[in-house]
Amino acid sequence: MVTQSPDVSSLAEVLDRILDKGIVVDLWARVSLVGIELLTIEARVVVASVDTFLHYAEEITKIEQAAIGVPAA
Amino acid sequence: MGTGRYLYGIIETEKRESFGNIGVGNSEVYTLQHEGIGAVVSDIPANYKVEVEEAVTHEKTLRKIMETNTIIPMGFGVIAKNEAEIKNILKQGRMKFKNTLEKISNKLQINVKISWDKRILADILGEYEEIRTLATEAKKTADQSLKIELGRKVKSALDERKNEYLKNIHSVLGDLSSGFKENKITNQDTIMNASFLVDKEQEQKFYDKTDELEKEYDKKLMILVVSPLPPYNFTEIEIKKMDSKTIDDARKTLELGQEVSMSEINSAYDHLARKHHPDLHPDDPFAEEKFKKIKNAHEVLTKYCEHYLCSLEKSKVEETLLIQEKTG
Repeated sequence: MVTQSPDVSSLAEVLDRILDKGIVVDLWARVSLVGIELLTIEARVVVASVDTFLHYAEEITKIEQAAIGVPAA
Repeated sequence: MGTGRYLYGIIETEKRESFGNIGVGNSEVYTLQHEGIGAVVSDIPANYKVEVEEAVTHEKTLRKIMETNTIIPMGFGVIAKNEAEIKNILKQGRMKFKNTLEKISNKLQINVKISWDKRILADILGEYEEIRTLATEAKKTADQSLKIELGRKVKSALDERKNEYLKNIHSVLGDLSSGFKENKITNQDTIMNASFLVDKEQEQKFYDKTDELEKEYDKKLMILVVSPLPPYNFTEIEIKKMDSKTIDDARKTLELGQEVSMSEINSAYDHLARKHHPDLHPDDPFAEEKFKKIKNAHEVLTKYCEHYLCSLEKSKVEETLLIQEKTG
């Protein structure tokens, strides 16, 4: 079963869904959202970069070691 | 200090409805209505500080209302100063809200996030000899460039599969939905983060299909379905105050008075556009710019006058709201 109730979502996930979605009103000050930077910090867009390549290199090396029975260093 | 109104969304309703004390700060959630359209609100003290955590309450309230009504959700954390401001929005946005409510009637949003299952890397190793060789070598050396080369190869092998898988997934789920929006991808292992607009009658079928997809892509993909959600991604409307300076500049450009009709705007434009057309002034370096300004002024005023009486007087302009699909 892959379906999950929104009840179990983390706060960051909920914010991702409801911030700036639906109707957005420009007329009134929005509530000041203290701490929001921390919660959405992981929401940076991922681009293909050296980081990504190194990430995959590490992952596949782990798999390869597991496959041939050599314990990971 | 007065009492503000926290907004949750817009529904269709003829009378004041109460949804119980399910609002921010355990307040009563009820409707303020105007001609069949209602804003779902709760009272909030003017000095009340809404915490980020209340986002969860916001969504829970929307989901509760969704059980019995079709609702256009508001973005999180919008507070109106008083009832009059809300009534003004309902009055001016009536047609837009009615059309949107019709579009999402009896529908819900389902979010689907698909990521790589790490076990797919075993498949990749088995399939590409070149990657196997590189992996063995990369392990033995501290050479970063070899690792980057390996990672690049793995990524491109994954991308190839990603395109094939997503094509199938899009066609399976697309058949069961009437809307599709892509969301930001925030993790390098995620290959799809999307929202589907699904008819309530198709809801169960959609879950069944995602279960089938999970089996089909066992050990390759991880599929996470979050549902039911209010149709956040399919009701993106923005409400802005009309900028009186922009209107006034446009009015002066078209040489108009304070009170005008649509046909006066059009004939002023026709007259000036003809007079200042750059083809007639090949020697004037500013002709192009002047012509553009006239065109732009016409666009601004046509948009403003589309639904409203065309008073270009400052106080009238400032009462007017610009209610439109969100762009960008």
